[in-house]
Amino acid sequence: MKPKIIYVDDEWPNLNAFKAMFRHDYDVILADSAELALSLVQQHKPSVLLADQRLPNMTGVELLELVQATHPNTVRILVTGYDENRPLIDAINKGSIFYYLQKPWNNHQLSALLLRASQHSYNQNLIQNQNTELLKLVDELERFVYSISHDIRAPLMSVLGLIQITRLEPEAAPRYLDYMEQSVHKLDTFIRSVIDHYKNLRTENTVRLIDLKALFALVIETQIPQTMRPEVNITLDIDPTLNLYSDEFRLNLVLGNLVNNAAKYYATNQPNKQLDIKVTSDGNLVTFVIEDNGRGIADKHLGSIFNIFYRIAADNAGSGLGLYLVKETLNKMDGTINVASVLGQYTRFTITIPNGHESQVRG
Amino acid sequence: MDTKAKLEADCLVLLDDVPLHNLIADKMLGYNNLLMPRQIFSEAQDLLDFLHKPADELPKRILMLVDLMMPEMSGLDIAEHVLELPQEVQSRCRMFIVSSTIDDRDIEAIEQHPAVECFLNKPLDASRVSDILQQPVPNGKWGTAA
Repeated sequence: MKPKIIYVDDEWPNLNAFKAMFRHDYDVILADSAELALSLVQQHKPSVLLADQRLPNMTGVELLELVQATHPNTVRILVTGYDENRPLIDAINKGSIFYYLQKPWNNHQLSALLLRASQHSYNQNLIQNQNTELLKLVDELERFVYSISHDIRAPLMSVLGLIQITRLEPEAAPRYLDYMEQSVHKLDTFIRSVIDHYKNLRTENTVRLIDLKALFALVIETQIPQTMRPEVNITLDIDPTLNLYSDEFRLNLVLGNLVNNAAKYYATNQPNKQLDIKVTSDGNLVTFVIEDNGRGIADKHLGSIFNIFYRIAADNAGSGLGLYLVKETLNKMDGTINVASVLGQYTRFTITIPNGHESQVRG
Repeated sequence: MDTKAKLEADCLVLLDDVPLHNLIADKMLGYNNLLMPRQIFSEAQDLLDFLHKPADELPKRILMLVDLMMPEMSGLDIAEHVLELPQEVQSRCRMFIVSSTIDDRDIEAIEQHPAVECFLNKPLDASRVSDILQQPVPNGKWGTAA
């Protein structure tokens, strides 16, 4: 895509000459008034704005100052046919211009200048985008560091406490060892989730043909505890015509977390545990519906369950990372997720992802 | 043995969303001869319901050991609720917050809260609870003059 340049001058011969000279290398947009230039800047967010100093209702310096406030990444160049020191000094002092160009311009010089200006604008945008991403990462890092005291330190402190009471009550050691094992598993789950989260953030999608039956078999085996599996009636209904091209790591992460949640949140000693999984395809969209008849989620929580470290229940099961990870992973896949639930009856997650194409499969 | 402490609190309340932490605290307190009757909760709302019981059903000297980080309501949220209780009920309650946090901001917020007497680290060191209970009761608490 060519960099966008707006040139504002009230003399059409200048505008036309400029466009004729630079239209091959740049997307040149012309304006014959400051007012029009302002609205074009708003609309196009150009890399470079060149403004003639002598405009009818506003000076070039005034226009560049306004643009500096609203679009600081647009590189601003002042053009004037007069030897006017005053506006030049004003503009430089106010920091509103990148370069001062005197008419008549030298085409070679102007060409080099525009190249430098558009590169400068590109770099400014890059820095700004990287800063935004950096701020998000710093915020996330702060949350993680804070969560360490709860999600990493708390299970460790449980183990420490259990060691202390095992010393005082050695005859109960087998029971306390079981508790220690649970705490260690909880810690391990948290660490794995953090690593999955960063892998999701840092890797690109790797599209391949997915064997959905095999994937679900793996998810069920790894996410539903072996002791519970015989108690859960699982139905799996996959559109037989579907050839799904997607990122297997991410799909496994999403489905694994949802199936794991279903297994975790059946009511205590619940009979007739049910888990229904349906995969359908409509054009380019593939829809997964995962429904369990477990505890359900109260209405007041439904809007917050995808927030980082949001935990619903007073129980030992969740770290508040799983559904956040599901949502973030689906964002990376251009997918969506919706939840419907009635407390004490069911929870139904519906996710949609775009189906990739054979041509996206690499090597 | 800490006989004074046993006489002082007539009800010990434990609140932690992780039942295992309640079990560990309960055991630790028992091994330190803090054997007063217990009320053990894993949901904050249950503790608030307990504190809103009619005055004649509520113990006179309540010691509450409350976790900091819980879903829906934190230990500091509970402390705010305590401040809204009738003065007579507040005077029956002494509240300690127990947490695995090592975040200075958390610890400072706990130590500065008027409803919280002290911060205790996990795993609970019950001998510290005994030591604190050996100290004079803060003014206005457990029947002492405000």
